[in-house]
Amino acid sequence: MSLVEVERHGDVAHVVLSDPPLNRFSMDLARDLSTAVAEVSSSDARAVLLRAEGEHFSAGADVNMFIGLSEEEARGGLDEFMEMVHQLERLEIPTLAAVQGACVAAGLEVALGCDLIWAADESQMGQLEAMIGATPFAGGSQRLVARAGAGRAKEMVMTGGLYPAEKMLEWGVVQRVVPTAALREKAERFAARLAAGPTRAHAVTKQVMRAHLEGGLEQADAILPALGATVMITEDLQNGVKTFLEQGPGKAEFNGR
Amino acid sequence: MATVDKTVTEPATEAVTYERIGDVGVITLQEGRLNLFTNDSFLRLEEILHEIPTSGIRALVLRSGAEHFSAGVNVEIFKDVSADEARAMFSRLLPNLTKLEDLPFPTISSVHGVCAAAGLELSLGCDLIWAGESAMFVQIEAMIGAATFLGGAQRLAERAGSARAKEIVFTADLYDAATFERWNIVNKVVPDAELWDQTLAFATRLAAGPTRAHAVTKRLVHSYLEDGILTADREILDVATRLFETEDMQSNVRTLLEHGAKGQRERAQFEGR
Repeated sequence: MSLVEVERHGDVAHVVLSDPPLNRFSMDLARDLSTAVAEVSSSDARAVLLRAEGEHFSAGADVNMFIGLSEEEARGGLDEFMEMVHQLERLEIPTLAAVQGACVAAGLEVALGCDLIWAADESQMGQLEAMIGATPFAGGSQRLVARAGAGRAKEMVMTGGLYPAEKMLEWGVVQRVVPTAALREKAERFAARLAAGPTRAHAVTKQVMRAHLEGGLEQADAILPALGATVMITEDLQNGVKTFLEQGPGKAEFNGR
Repeated sequence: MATVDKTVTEPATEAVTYERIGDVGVITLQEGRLNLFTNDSFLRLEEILHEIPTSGIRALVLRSGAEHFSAGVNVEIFKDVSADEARAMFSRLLPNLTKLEDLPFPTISSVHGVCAAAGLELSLGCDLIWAGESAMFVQIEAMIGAATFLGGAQRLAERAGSARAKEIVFTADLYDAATFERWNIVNKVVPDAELWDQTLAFATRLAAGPTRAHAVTKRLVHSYLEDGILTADREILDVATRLFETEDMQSNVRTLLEHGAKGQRERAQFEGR
């Protein structure tokens, strides 16, 4: 049985970590997540909701697999893990992580691989790796810098602290905090709204922002004109402009083409 | 620029002093009331930064022993300087900032009073900034028609985003500690009277942490800022995997597996190896 389920709800694909209560990242869970993301990638889903069954989003990696590893052996596993995050980031559709309970270490790094993070008000987040003499191995440091700036990122990683959702909201790591009981419903509704949006425009938005993270303003600006032009000729944009001119803002409907 | 003559005996009260408290190195700026940097203070700082990377310390605090953290550079050294001379001056000063940023352990600036211009830029060269509640920050260069010669503009942008950075530099206004904390430039604001004790306690805690992992974290953050997210991700394989062969990681992974995650924070022990 797979440790990660894919469910389809309308145009939204739910990718569900299903190894409760801790959803610890073993190599098996990481591989199943990778398979799930590949499945979504080749489907016609227009948004992803990444959520987790049980009390916690994820307590992080199963550290059993770290024992006695040589640098060379570690490299193989980490390569695979990093590639899993990249695969998630390369999805062309908007991705939303809904986190509850503990979302720490590798769990947080996977959430950071999503475009947006919504958190339950009682949830807690942290890169705890310092506790075992490690550093985030799946790109958490650099992704926290991207969201919260260098000072906050270093603070989080060097202290190995556990932070309440509200603090993560304040620092820009998560985008919305909602009551625990309402998280699933609100996240589903928001993901459905993203899925009903201009999917091809969202894909270009993601590519441009990604280019900025990879190569700065220059790289993002360089790819924008050509990519922007592909958006200009989409049905969604042409129809959106027409509807806007005839009926005013907020009336357009998008089919993702 | 003066040539460096290391045989000259140091003055009775040095502008910049260094001491070691346990595994924490402490650099204290004390050049008069305002800590106006002179060529001499930069030279002394340069010497210290040259010596400490391999001295065995595992964290560093930068602080002021004067009434203010620092009012910046003594602008005497800018008077009638040509562009060529300025270039020579800053090509000697800027490497100090790089040395500070590249130290292989956590660094904290502990700020009280006014922290202006080069003083703020040196603080931005530290990993974290702790501030007393009455501390005031200003990137004052615009007032004399200058730019932030020690990298303030880009480092403010790193922490607070480009619009805030431009606002701070364009206006040359004074900002209080609470505002800088809200903008993620300052990490923590504490009561003035407790600033030193709290910073030292925090630095001591970081110094007792996984020093080699912290060095890797610094490198990944730096690599992202310098060359983007993919380069940083690749460095995980080239640099971070070395941690698996450190005593600190293997022994603490064992502790965690033996006793469980609860209480690991208290049980964890690191030697910095």
